[in-house]
This record gives sequence, structure tokens and C-alpha cells, in this order.
Amino acid sequence: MQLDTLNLNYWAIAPELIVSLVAVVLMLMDAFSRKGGRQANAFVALIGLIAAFVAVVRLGGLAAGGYFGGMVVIDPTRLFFAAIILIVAILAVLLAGQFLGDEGLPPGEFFSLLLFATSGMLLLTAAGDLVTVFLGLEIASITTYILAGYRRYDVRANESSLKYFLLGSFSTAFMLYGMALTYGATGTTNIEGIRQAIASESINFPALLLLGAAMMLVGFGFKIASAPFHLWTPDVYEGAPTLVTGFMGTGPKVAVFAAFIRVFIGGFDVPIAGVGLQLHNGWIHAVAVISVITMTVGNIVAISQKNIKRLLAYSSIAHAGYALVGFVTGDFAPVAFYLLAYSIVSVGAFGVIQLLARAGDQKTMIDDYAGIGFEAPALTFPLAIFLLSLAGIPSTAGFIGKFYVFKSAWVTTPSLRYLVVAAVINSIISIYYYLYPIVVIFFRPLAPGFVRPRMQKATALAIILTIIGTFYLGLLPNRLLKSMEKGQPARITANQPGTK
Amino acid sequence: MEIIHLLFLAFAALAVVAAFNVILQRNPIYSAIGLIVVLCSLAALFLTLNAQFIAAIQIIVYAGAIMVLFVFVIMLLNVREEEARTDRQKYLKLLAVPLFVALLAEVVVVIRYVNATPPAIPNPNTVSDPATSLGTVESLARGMFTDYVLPFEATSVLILMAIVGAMYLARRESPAEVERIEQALAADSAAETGADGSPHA
Amino acid sequence: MVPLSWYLALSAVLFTIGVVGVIVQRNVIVLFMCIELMLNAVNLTLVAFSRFLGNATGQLFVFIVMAVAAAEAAVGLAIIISLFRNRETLNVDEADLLKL
Repeated sequence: MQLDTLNLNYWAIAPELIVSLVAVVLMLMDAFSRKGGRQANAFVALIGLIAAFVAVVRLGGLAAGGYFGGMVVIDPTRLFFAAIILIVAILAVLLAGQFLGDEGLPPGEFFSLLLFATSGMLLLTAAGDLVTVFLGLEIASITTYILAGYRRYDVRANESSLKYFLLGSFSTAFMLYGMALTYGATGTTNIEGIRQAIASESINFPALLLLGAAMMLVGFGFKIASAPFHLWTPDVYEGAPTLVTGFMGTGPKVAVFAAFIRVFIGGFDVPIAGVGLQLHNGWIHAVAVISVITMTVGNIVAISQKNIKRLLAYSSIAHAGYALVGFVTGDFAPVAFYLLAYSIVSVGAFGVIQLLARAGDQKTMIDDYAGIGFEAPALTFPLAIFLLSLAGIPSTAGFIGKFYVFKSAWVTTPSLRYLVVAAVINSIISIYYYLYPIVVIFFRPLAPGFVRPRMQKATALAIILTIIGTFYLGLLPNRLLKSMEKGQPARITANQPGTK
Repeated sequence: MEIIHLLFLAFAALAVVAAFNVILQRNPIYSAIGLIVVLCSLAALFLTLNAQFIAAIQIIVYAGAIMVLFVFVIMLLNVREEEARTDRQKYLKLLAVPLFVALLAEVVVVIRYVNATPPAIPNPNTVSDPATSLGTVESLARGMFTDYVLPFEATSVLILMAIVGAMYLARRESPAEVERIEQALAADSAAETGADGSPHA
Repeated sequence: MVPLSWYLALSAVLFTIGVVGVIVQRNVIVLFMCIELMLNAVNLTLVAFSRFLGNATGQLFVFIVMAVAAAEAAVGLAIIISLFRNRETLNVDEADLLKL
């Protein structure tokens, strides 16, 4: 392969480059500075992330297609998902100052690791080849395992980190096996190349292609914490420091969804007769079933939860189920919007809980928050808004997200309407467990001895930004939705599952 | 049945037996040794597949660095043998027969199915230029620094991050660090019991 | 020439043994070794396909997988050491503080 045919354009990987470079700069700053570099670290990290955001916007000006030998691609999916990831990272950096300051943990490594995780997630959304998917996934995941165990003195964090690590490595092995079988069946690891191989019917071993796709589906299923692969996820979310839980429940999940879209819709979904059609029908039905099980299991188990972090963990499992509804029915603008709404609200909620739980996450049971509603309104009012958004109450981002996903699913895929019905029923059930903490916080008698937590300015800024985001997406979503629809990546084409 | 088939069967049998050893042994050091045997037999199999460089890397990196790290950690943590048989072990006995049947079925299915339509096998040994024949360092290098240059550089980011993280998690706490954490936590709980200055919220 | 299916069968067997090991093992370090066994089965699959397709892609992918496995091993063992500092056991069954 000659170097000039590889399309080596550094602007195509500018966001990842910027974020990695800033992470290294942070390491150097930490090495050469005296104590107390937390503010400086956060500031530099923020500048880096904003620069990366600008770079992502500039990517829109480059030609769509493959770069670096097809390893990364530029397409609308990448632009929107990369923007979501950077928003999550910026919010996490703003909230991190509170976490590190309250507990006295070293800031240098934290911000570097946070930025390395972000660069891994950006690489994952940009991936055009299975190798890049694997690498981006591993960079993002391994960094998150480390962050989950950042509070080294706490056994719960250690356990959470260990369980997350074992679960993550196990699922990576499944995904890798799927990638290996796909490579054997199609002769290439490039996603566009896989698509062409299926389209031109030049598959070496069709059964291996189906098996490979199935194993990759299992791997992805583990990574987005869908049922029945979700078993250790609530433990992981409960034990990790609250800020890290907020980060890991949004960032990596969004990035994995982007890769999921690119591999399955962009790579495997060629519904021509033969293996292509078998694969198309097979994965759509499998994901539909997974979606229903995920929503149902997440919602039903969440009802009995008494710990706010476990409650939100099961709720995030259910939300992955709703996002899969949008995914299966072939429209991506809804999935991207839904994940944006979910991420902003989720990070905001965990940011507030981080304060309410006090340093070291001592108070995470819902009953610990009884009656504090009007004692600390700057915290509890946003938390109530976030919970209502997760439940899908009108005028919040969550409502628009759900509405958009359900509407497009209903309209575009008549044979999968049962998914929408199941999702609506589940949403109604979920209102119960989202209202429960609100009731406890506002309508129970206050236990004596409550003191309002001290909030740093950066935390306040993050909470304000997330509230603004929630209402902006909930009341004025049209501009964003129009621009997402204009840049619509490939939809699932013609053949609906089961009709041909 | 040529020599190569016999060699394959020998190393494959060795790998499978050693793999069972890994999961069945009670002493973790014996499991580690089993895994090393698996790695070395796989390296031999890589040699039969014209992957000379990969075979060498497997021995040097996997068996020579990763497994050594495992053995170090086992020794460092002074992991003992497992205590007397508990329910998990009984579990394993129940699992043994279905597992054996499943493994046999896998082998039969793969051999029956995959054999059905083998594509033509290109023979790299007839080519004289090492840069184009499979498995040589030249061909791997050519691929690595042209097509795979981005994954290569991304791997360096991965390794850097792993070093930072592993060092952070495994280092001993310095007294200064312990004191700082305790002070911060104490300040927070003092604030909580009502002794703080200016609550924001 | 050894048929491709033999290599694939062997790697499927090794992968399955690894999966069973992960489900059954109680010792965290041996559990992690079983995951490494699974990754090696994948490596064998990739190299076998690489040979039979005449394509260097498989071998390059194996190179990357090995580097990633090394980094993962370092981090995983660091996590185990960090856990061990706080609890003196490596028994996965006793990592149950988080279950309600």
C-alpha cells in the first residue's frame, strides 16, 4: 500500500490528537508543579476539551469517507456522537474539582486519565475498521476501570473496579472472537470492506459470518449493559465514586452506541438475498428482543431499589433499552438525540448526588435524603428536574427524546411496533421509581443535623449548564433535530424484517 | 497423515490438556504454569501457520513478560492453595459431562461445516521477496507502518495510560497523601455536624 | 497441509474452556488467566485465517491484540493489588459488599 493512497490527513483525527496531547501536558504539569494544582489542571483540561469540540465542528468541513487507510471515517454519526462525548467530558471536568477537593485525592492523574478516556471514546466513534473499534474500546474501557478504583482506600470502589474490569475483559474477548470470525468470512476488517463483501456475495464461510456477528452482538450487549448481560453493572455503579459513575454511565455507553451503529448498520446490514438477508433479519430480531428484555428488567428491578446509585444504575439499563428501540428501527437522529438528552441529565444527576452523598459517598440511601427538599433547594430542585426528565415528563429533554424515538419507530417500522408499545408501558411504570426519591426528599420529615454541602463554583456552573441543557432540549429542540436529520447517515434500507 | 498433522495434533492436545489444567488446579502457580504451556504450544502452532514473527513475539511478550508479571503478583500477594472443596467445585463436577459433550460437538460441527467449501490456499513459500511473503518481519513492518499506522500510534496512547493507571493503583500510599485524605474527610464531616463557616448551596 | 477447520476447532475448544473457567473460578487471578486464555484462542483464529486468506491483516491484528492484552494485564493486576491491600482475600465470592 503506497503512502499517498492512504489519505493521511491529521485534521481528520484532530479531536483525538488534541485530547491526548492535553492529557500528556497535564501529566507534565503534575510532574513539575508544586502541590495544589487542581484548579490549573481543570482549567487546562477544559481548554483542551473546548479546542477538541471546535476541531469536531471543523471536521464537518472535510470530505466524508475513510482516512488513514480506512481506519477512521468522517460522517455525520461521528460528528454528533463526538460532540456528545465532549459535552459529557466537559461536565465531568467541571464536577471533578469538587470530588477531588472534598476527598483530598491527587488531581494530576485523574484529569489525565479522564482525558485519555475521552480520546479513546472519540477514537471509538471515529472507527472505520474493526481494529480501531477494538483499540478505542479498550482505551476507553481500561481508563474507566482505573477511574472506578480511584478512591483507593474504599473497598467498595476497589470491588467495583475489579468487577468492572472482569466484566469488561470478558466482553472484549467475545467481541474479539466475533471480529476474528468476521475477518475470516469476509477477508477484511474494514467495515466498508465488509459491507462490500456481503453485497457482492463473496463470503468465504457464511456460517462464520453469522456466528461472528452474533458474538460481536454479545460483546456490544455487555458494553452497553443490556440484559441479560447486565448482572454486575449495578454493583459497579454503586461502588465507584459518584462522579466516575456519572461519567462511565454516559460517555463509554454513547461511544459504544456509535460503534454499534457503524458496525451493524454500516457494515453488516446489506439485505440482499442470501447471507445478507439472514444476517439482516437475524440481528434486527435479536436486538429487538434484547431491547424489550432490557427495558423490562431494568424497570422492574429498579422499583425495589433503596440506594439512589443502584436505582440510577437500573434506570440507565432501562434507558439503554429505549435507545435500542430507536436503533433497531433504523433512524439515528433519534438515537443521537436520546443519548444526548440522557447523558446531560445523567451527569447532572450524579453531580448533585455527589454533593448530597458527602465526601466518600457515605450517604447514598434514599432515606438519608428525607426532607432535605427545602433545606438545600439549589441541589434538590435540579435533582428533581433530572429525575423527571429521566421519567419522560413533558417539557424536559427526556420527553422529547422518548417522543422522537417512539414516533419514528412507530412510523418507519410497522412490523416492530410491539417495541414501541413495550417501551411506552415501561416508561409509565418507571414514573413510580423516579417519583419515589422526589417524594422522600420533599415530603418526608427532616432528620435533625442536616447541613447543606459546600458547593464549588465549578460544580454550580456544571449544574446550571445541565439544567439549561435539559430545558433547551425539552422546549426548543427543533433546530438541533433539523440539523441532525439533514446529516442523516445511512438508514436501514428497503427490506423490513420478515416481509421478504 | 504427514508429519505436520502429527505435530499439530501433538501441540493441540498439549494445549487442551494445559488449558484444563489452568481451570482445574487449586494452586494458582500451577494454573500459571499451565497457561505458559498453552502459550508455548500456541507459539508452535503459529510456526506451522507461517507466522514466525508472531510466534517469537508470543514467547517473548506473552509468556516472557505477561506471565512473569502474573507469577510476580501471585508471589507478592502470597496466594495460597484454595481451601477444601466447596460448592463451586461440586458445580464443576456437574458441569463436566455437558461441557465435554459440548466441546466434542463444537469440534465435529466446525470440522464438518468449515471443511465444506475451502477457498484456494495461496502458498507464500514460493515467493522469493521476503517483503511480500506472509509472516516475515518485513511484511509485517510494511503493513504496520502504512495501513496500520493509526492503530500503532493509538496503542502507544493505550500503553501510556495503562502505565499511569497501574502506577497510581498499585503504589504505596505516602504519609503525606494519607494525611491529606484524612484531613479532607475530617473537614467534610466537621462541616456536616454543623461547624462550618459559609454553606453555599 | 493441516486443514483450516482443525485450527478453528482447537481455538473454539480453548475459548470454551476459558469461558467455563471464568464462570467457575473463585480465585481472581486464575479468573483473569482464563480471560487471557480466551484472548489467545482469538489470536489463534486470527493467525489461522491470515494464513488461509494470504492476508497480513490477521497477523497485524494479533500484534495489536497482544499489546492491548499486556496493558490490560498490567492494569488488572494493579486493581487486584489495590483490592488486596484493603481485603486480605482473593476470593471472588467474598467480594460481596456491594450486593444488597
